[in-house]
Amino acid sequence: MEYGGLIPGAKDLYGSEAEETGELTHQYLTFAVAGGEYGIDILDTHEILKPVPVTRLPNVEDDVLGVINLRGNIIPIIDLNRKFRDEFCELELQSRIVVVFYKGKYTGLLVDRVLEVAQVPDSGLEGAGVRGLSNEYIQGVGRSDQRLFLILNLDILTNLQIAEAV
Amino acid sequence: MTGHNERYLELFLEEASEQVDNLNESLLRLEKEGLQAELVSEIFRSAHTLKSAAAFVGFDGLSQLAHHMEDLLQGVKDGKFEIRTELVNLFFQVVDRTRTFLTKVASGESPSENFADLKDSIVAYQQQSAVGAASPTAVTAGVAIAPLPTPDPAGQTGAGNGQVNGGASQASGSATPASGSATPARDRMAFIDLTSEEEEELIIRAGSKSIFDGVVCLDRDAAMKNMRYLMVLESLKREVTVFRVDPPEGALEGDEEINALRFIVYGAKTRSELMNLCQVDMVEEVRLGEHVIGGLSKERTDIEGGHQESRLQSKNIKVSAEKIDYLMNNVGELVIINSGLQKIYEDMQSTLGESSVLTELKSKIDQAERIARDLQSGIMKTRMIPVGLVFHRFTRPVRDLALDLGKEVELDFHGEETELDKNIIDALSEPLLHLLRNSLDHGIEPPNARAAAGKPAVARLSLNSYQSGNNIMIEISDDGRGLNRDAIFRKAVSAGLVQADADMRDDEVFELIFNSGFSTSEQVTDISGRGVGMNVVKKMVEDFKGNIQIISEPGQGTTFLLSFPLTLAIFSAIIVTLKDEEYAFPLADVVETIRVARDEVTSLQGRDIINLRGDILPVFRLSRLMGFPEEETAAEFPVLIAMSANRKVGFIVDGLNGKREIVIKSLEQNFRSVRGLIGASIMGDGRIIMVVDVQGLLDMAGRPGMRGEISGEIEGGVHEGRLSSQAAFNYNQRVAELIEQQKQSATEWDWNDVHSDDDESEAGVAGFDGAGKTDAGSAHPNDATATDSRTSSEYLRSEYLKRSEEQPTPPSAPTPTVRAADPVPTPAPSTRAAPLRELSEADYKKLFSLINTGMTKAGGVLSQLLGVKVEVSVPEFKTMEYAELQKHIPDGRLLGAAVEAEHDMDAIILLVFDERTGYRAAGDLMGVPQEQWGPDGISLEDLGSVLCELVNIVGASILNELSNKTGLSITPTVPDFVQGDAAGIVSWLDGKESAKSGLKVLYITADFFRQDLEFLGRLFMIPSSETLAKVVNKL
Repeated sequence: MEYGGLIPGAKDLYGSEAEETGELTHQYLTFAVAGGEYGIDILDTHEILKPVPVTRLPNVEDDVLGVINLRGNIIPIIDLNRKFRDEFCELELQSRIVVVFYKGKYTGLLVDRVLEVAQVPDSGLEGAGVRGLSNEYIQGVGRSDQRLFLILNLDILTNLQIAEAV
Repeated sequence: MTGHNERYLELFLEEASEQVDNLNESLLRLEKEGLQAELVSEIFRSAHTLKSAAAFVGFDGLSQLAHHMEDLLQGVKDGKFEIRTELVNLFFQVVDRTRTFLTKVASGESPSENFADLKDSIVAYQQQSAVGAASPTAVTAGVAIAPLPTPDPAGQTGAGNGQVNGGASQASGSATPASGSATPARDRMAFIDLTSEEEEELIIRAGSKSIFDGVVCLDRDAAMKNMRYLMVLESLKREVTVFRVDPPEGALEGDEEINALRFIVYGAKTRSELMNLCQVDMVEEVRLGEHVIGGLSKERTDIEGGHQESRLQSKNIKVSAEKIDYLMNNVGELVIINSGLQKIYEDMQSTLGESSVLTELKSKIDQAERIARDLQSGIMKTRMIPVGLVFHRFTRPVRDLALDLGKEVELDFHGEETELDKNIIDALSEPLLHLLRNSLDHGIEPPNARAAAGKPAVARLSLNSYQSGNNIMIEISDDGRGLNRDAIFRKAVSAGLVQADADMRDDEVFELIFNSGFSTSEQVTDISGRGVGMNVVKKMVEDFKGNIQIISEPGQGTTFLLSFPLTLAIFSAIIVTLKDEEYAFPLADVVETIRVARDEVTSLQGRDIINLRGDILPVFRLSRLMGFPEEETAAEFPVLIAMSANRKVGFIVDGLNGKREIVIKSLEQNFRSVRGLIGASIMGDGRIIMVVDVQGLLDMAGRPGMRGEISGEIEGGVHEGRLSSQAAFNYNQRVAELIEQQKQSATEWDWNDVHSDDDESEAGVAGFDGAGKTDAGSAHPNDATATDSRTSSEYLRSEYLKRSEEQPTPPSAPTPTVRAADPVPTPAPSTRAAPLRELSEADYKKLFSLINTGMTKAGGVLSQLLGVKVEVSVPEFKTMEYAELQKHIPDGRLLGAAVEAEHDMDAIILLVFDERTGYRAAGDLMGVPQEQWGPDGISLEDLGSVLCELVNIVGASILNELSNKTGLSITPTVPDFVQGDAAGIVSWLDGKESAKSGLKVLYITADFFRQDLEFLGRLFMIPSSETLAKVVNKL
């Protein structure tokens, strides 16, 4: 269905400048957590859920809020607020669970708000080392338009085997 | 020969044929790649397994043959023999003869062959072919006398049957059976003859699969014979591997007429299955028989010759564990879905009352459930085999080692019939052997020491297996000197593993031997060709989620206790409650449940105990072990008495909630293991509950700082847990609040979202289009989720969604002015309550579903265009006078846009926005900067064109749907736009053509919401009753 042509300005919904310049772009799903802006590669995103009740997992680290039943898969939910600033998420209407499918396993990340799909050209990506970021959860920085966001390191974030060590 | 248990025999066949396959493969590699230690070890292992498997079921002849082969291999390993063709041929002979033997066993015979001839050949080879003294001729002679299987131990050759397959010297032999009782071979119906090389190749290729010879002959008068033959060949090719075909395939495609099709095939098909494959039209005769491997005196089976299919092939197939796991998971789901159905039935029963349809439904649900359970246990059983199979492999190594060490040992077995997962059994062999060797070497004293200690000269070494709760236990115990606690401790200290002043319990000290830094002393012998340390043993056990414990008494002996969980079990569980949570205890671990008064709990050495009919049991508070904070104990509470490692313990819980069947789901995808839990289980309603691991809980309770007693201090470990319990609790509370809030604001918060609508969420990130996926579940008028067009890519298209602080409507106040004036929008159920007078129930449903689909699609298209999720409330149907319309249009300054339907249907589709929303939508779509969203930034003309476009899209979606389903021609007119209040809009509508055509009008309204919060606009569909009737008739 081509409505784009019928509506003034609608075309801009789909195209991005980067595409026109021919530079390779990456898409990141960005979201807000604890006042910061973070992103993950959109290809690692499986789906976005509204918060649903969790079943607590006793005796694991408390940034694992619990587990949910995602169509028969039991997946853990990680409270990124807890992870990043040591406070539990204040659940609001816009709070969402971003389900990632990374290295063969599902993990839900509880975020304050989902922001957008950011188009990031190659030139807008920087590794964490450059910025001197020491946080192990951060893999790098992405720049989309005039905004910056931190790219999460899913390797570390979804590795819950550490959690059992409490 | 001993009477074999039928079941063991099958297992033996399976195991042995696997080993034969392995041997075959390894031998080929050996021949090709030359001497490689690893390869020889592999062959050795296969021979060894074959040997013990044969011994287990009492085929001593075969066992001895394998033993001879082992000896020969040992020679190869030691460099006594070179790898050369004669040697490999000799091995191949063993393999082939073994296969023949197995085939006989499989076909129900009890062959009492002792392979004397082959054994002699091996011995001869050993004597003559040692490196440096090679005597090829002698070897060949050895081979030459080899082939005949005969009950006569003297190893005579059977007259006329001396076909050696794989023999070094016979190159041009024929595989035709010489046995006199074979069916008289008519030329036309003769099987393909193979040379011995070909024969060998066939055997290698076919492995353990059944090989069949066949001839198909068509009726003399059949037309297009060649094509028919080709058809037979093609159908064979689909099911089995064709090794040879005569005439060759090329000839079949040619013009020359062919009289018969001969073939040799192999595969996992039985004779009768192949027979069916050969039966095409006009077939005159089919002859099909199991292929005779050279030297076997078995008659070829003919069509008339009865069925002698290999039972080995027809009864056992190899399936990868992965496939079984996949099945198992799916069946687990099935069971869960069934409980879901059960619940739906109960709901229906309570709302609709009893009816015969419901009773029927119930019986079907019950039936499905039974079948699902049968399936589940059936699949589980496929993985289980008795441990006896592995136990018997040890008889020989233990005997050999005992001889080497000069010790007298009797190895006995108990519980050989205990079944365990095949994977575990396969992997168990080595660690068990190591433990046995360990006991022999270090545990059991030399005879004189035993005599001095007053023990019987013959030491006892026993392997015992049994089921305990959800674990399969395997015990290896000896009556030797026991572990030397002090020596271990000293060694650990010197290795830096523990502090010299560490205060450790015995079992903790014993545990140290599993440490990788704790090397065992020099291995005296190495039966299997590989030595493994205790740390490796532990690791292998743990790889299978097993556990290993040591019980040792000085002077009395040592027992290694291995426990393995039953894989993927379904079992009954007792559900207990703890605050607002539920936990499942495997029923097998539960002895009983009792109620205990607080003052019945007393303290003994810092532990809480109760007296249960004279038994003193420790009791633990489950809530503490599960990380809940300390709380005042009730005056009386339920206590669940569990049994673990022959010890009874009590767990204090808040409540008991009955028994349920559960399927365990592992948490190990994400967590290696969670303390105190075996896993989790999904209940029929989709909830997850945790399944406790009694032993794990006890381990936790035993840990300093984690004591779970009623009295006692909260220490470090508990603190974290408490936070986590609080966090989850707060979170869930807040989720409930939000859901409530959502309900009140009339938008639906789809509670079931996460559990149910597969189609939508599965599509995941890939699908950006809201439109394509939204119609999946929209057919059911009672389903509140049906119109829910939200998809998983909900926000992924939200380039246009600005940050919330910039949003004109704060999310906490989701109801703009338009809504305030309007009490109507009610969610789904109301729609059913008011069916239309003009429509029958059935018509109503059809129409509803249609409109609903159209609306949902419109919502999807809008989502796509606006780049935000647009949701549509469930349409509401009302009949009313046209004059009442105004009451249903919100107050305030409005923007309206309408399209009319033309041709076969008269209708107006009207979309009403409040002014601000209208401007915002337009601004959004036009890409106007946000601050200019208003009359100043957007001209009325632009506003109109955008809103017209919107109504055009929505209208088109609905009308298309109607048109498609009815076959009527329904097309939209050019949209029109108006600005004003409700009255203004109505009078504007009055001017339209379709409004005049009917006196009575149906109003179909649906509200569009943006991001489930903000009201976007309201849609009215105003068809004339006359033309609506036309549409309904066509449905």
